[in-house]
Amino acid sequence: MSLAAINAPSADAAAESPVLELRNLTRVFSIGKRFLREGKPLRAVDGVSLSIPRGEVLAIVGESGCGKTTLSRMMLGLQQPTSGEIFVSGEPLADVDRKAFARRVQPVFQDPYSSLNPRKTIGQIIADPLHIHGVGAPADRLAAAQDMMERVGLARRLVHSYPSQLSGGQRQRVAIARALVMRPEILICDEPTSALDVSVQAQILNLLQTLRAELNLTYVFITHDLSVVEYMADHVAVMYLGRILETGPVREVLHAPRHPYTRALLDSILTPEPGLGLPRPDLGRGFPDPLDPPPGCRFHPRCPKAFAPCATLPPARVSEGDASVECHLYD
Amino acid sequence: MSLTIADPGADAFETLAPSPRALMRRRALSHPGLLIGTGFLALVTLAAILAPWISPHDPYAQDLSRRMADPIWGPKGEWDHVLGTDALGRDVLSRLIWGARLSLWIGFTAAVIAGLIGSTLGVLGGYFGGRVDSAVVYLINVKLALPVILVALSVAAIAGGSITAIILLLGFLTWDRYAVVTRSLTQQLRERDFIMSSLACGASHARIILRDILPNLLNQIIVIASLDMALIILIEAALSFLGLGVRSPTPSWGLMVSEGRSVMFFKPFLIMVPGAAIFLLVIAINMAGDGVRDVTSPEGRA
Amino acid sequence: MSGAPVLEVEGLSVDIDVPAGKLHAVSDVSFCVRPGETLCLVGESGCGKTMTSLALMRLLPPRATLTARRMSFEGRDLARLSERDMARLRGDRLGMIFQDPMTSLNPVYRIGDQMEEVWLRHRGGARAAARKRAEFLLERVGIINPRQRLDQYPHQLSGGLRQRMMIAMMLMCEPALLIADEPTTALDVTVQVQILSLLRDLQQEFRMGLILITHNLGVVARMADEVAVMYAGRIVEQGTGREVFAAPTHPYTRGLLDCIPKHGQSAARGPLGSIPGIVPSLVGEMSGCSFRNRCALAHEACRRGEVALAQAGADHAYRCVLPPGQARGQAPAFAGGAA
Repeated sequence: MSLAAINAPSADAAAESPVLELRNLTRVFSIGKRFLREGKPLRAVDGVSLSIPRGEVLAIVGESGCGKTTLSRMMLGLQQPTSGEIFVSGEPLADVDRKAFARRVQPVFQDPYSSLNPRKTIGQIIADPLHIHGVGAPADRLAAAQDMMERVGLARRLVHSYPSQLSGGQRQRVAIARALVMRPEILICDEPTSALDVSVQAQILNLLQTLRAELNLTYVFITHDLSVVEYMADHVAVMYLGRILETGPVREVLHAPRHPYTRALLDSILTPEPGLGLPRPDLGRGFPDPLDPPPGCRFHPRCPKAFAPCATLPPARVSEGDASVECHLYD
Repeated sequence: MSLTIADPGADAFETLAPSPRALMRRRALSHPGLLIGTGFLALVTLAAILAPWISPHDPYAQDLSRRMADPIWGPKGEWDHVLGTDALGRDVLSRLIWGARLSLWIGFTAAVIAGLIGSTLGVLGGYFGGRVDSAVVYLINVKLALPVILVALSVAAIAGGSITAIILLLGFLTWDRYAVVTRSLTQQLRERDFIMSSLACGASHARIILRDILPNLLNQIIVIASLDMALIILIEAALSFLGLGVRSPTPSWGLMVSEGRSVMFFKPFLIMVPGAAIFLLVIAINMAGDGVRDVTSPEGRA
Repeated sequence: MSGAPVLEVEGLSVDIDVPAGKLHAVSDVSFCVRPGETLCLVGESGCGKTMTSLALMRLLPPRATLTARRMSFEGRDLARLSERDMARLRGDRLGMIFQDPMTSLNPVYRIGDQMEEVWLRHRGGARAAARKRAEFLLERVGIINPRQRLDQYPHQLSGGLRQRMMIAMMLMCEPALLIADEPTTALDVTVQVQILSLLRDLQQEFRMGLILITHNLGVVARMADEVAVMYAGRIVEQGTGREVFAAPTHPYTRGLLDCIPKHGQSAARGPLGSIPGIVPSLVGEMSGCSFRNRCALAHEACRRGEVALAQAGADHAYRCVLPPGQARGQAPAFAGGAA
C-alpha cells in the first residue's frame, strides 16, 4: 500500500450518512465479581445515541464518573459495547476489520506523559502506526513522520529525541502527529488539554482547529471544561451517570440550556472577569453511587427543580430539531 | 502554515534537555558503587575468558612433591605458585581462574534461563490478566512454596553433577523473582495510554508486548538478573561444597573450599582464598546491580 | 479587610542545588496577607508558586535554601524559627491544604482520629472535647452525618468530601493563615465552586488570611483580594484583584488572559491568543526580563539589568520596562480576544 492511498474514503455512502453514529450504546461492567459470584452491574454507559456529521466537532461534557471515558473507548474499538451499535460512515463497526477501523478513528489522550512510550524516539512513535499497517517503505515512513511533525509545529530535528526531552505541549503535539499520520477521518480527543498549562492549552486548541480545517477531520472532544466546548465544538452532549441528558448545537445549549444540570455546569464556569464573585449553582451535594443509581431521573437528588415524578419515572427523551433533552420539565 | 501552529519561539530559545542515554551515562559515571562493582566484575570476567592464556599452570596438573605449598605471603612462599598449591599439589591461582570461568558461566546461563521463564510468565500474566494471570499466580505460589535448597540437593543428588544439569536446575529454581516483578510492572504499564494508543492503532498483542512493554522492563530485568546471578553462584558453590554439584577434579570455587576443609586448621589459605573469591564476586555483582537500578530508575519513571 | 497583616514577606528567594548549578526557583518575592483577605499566587507550572508556599511552611526539599529579608508571621520571623517551633506552628496557627488530600492523610487511621490528633497535639486536653470539635467542624464544612464520617477511613470518601474534611481538619485550631495549593484542581467543576465558596465563607467567619495557589485565572478573578502573577520565579504583576483584572499590564498576564476562551468566543471567530516559546531555564545567573524571549513587545532595553516593579495604579505594580500604556498595547486584554 502506498502512503497516498491509505485514505480515500468510499465516496458513495460517506456523503449522506454521519461519519460516526452510536445507536443505543450500553456498556455494563460487573463490579466485585469473584469466582462463582456474580458482580454488581455498573451501567457505565446507558443507552447513548449520538451521530456526528463529517467535519463537525462533537463535545461530550460531563464530570468524573459519568461514563465518558468508557464511551470514548467504545468509539475507539478498545471496548465492546454490551448492547447497541456503532456505525462508521454507515457501516456497522462489527463488520469493519480492526485495522481498517484503526485507520479511520484515532485517539488523543489527556496525559502526554503517559501516552508516549519513553523508550522510543519521537520519529519511531509517530511512524509506529505506519509500521503496524505496513504502509510505505521504511525510509518513507520516517520522512512521513517528519512531515507530520512539521504540520503539528514540531521541529524536524526532534525526530531522534526521546519524549522525556520534550515539554508537555510538545509531547501533546507528538501524540497528535501519531494520531494523524494514518490520515484518519475521526479523532477522539479525551481531555487533550486538561493536563497542560493555559498558554499551552491555547496553542493545542488552535492547532487542532487548524488541522481540522486542513485535513477535513471530525472530532469527538471529551472534556469537563465548558469554555473549551464553546470555543471548539459545533455540537455538545451533556452526560451524567452514563446517560446523555441534553444534546444540541453548542450555541443553543450553552446560551439557553434546558436541563438543570447543564445550567449548573454553565453556572460553574469561572471566567476571569473581575468583580463577579463566586457563582452559587443550586446543586445538591451528594454524588450518587453509580452502582446504585437513583430511580426515576438520575439527576433528581441534586436537582433544584425536582418535583414529584422525577423520583419515580425516568424522563423520556424530547427531541426538537437538532436538540434533545431528558427532563420532566419538558415532557 | 499559519502562525498559530508553527511555534518558532519554542525552537529558537530552547536548549534541548539531554537525552535519556546521556543522562544515564552522566549518572553512571558519578556512581561509585556501580563503577567499583562493574570494574571488579569486568576484571573477573576477563580473567575467566582468558583463562587458557593467563593461568600460570594447568589447573589439573598434580605435583605431589609440592603439596600444600604456602602462598606468597606464607613463610615458604614462592612466586611460582602465587596462591600456593592444594593437597594434590595443584596451583591454586590457576584453579581459581578456571573456577571463575565455571562460576560465571553457570551464574550467567542459569540466570538467563530463569529470566526467560520468569519474565515470560510475568509479562503474560500482567498483560492479559484474568485466567492467564490466575494461572501465573498459581505457578508463582507453587514455586515460592518449594524449599529451594532441599529440592536442589535432592535433584542434584539424583541427576548427578553434570554442569548442564546444574544450570537447568538452578534456572528452574530461581525464576520467581522475575515473574513477580515483571508481572506487577506490566500491570502498571498496561494502564498507560501509550499501550492504548498502540491498541487503537490495531497493533497485535505480540507487537505490544515486544515493542512497548519489554523495552520498558529491560532495566528492571537486568537488575533482577544480577541479584539472581549472585544467588545462583552461591547455590552452586554450596552444592559443590556438599559434593552434589560439580565433581572433582573440575575446578570450582565451592569444591575448592570443600577440598580445603580437611586441612583448614593447618593451611587456612586453602579455604580463605576461594571463600574470599566467592564473597568478592557476589558483592561486586550486587553492587553492579544496585548501581544499574540507581542509574536507570529515575528515567524509568518518566 | 483591614488590620495588621498576619503575614509579611519581603525579598523571599529559594535556590535549589542541581547538578548544573543553582536553580533560582523563587527570586525576591514580597507580599503581605491581612486577616480575612485572600492572596492568590497564580502562574503556570514551574513559576515558583508552590515553592513559595513550601518556603512559608518551611517544608522545602533538602537541597533548597531559603533566604528572606523578612518573613514575619504574627510578629514572629518564620525564616529564623527553630524546627521545633515551626512544627508547633504548622497545623495550629499555620494551616495548609493540598491538591490531593490523600497525600496528607494517613490511610490507616480513621478520619476522627486524625482530626482529634491535630487538636491534642497542639492544645492537649480530653479526647472527648477534641471529638466534639471535630464533629462540629465536619458539620460546618457541610458534611452530612459527621458522627458517622468520623469513624470512616479517608479512602471511603469522594474527592470533594475529602477536600472538605481536609479543610475541617485544618480549622481544628483556627489558623491565622491557611495556604491552599491548588485545592480544587482535581475536582469536578461543580464541586470546585462549592469548595471555593466554602473556603470563602469560612475565611470570613474565622477571620483567616488565605493564600490560594492556582493556575486557574478564573478562580483568581473570583476569589482574590490581592493577586500576584508569577513567572520564572518572580512576581511580574501584583495588586488588588480588581485592578489587575480590570487593567492587566504585564505582557505575560495579558497573554495568559488571551489564552482562555471567553464566553461567546468560537473558533470561527479566529484563533485563541497564545504565548509562543517556553519558560527559560532558571539555572544560573540571568539578567534582564525573564519573559523577553516570549514577549511580542521585547526590545533592546529588556536585556539589561534587573527589571524593577513599576506602579501601574494605586495598588498595582508590574515588572516591565515599558510604561503602563505601552505595555498594555492598544486595547485592554480582556476586551481584546473575542470582540
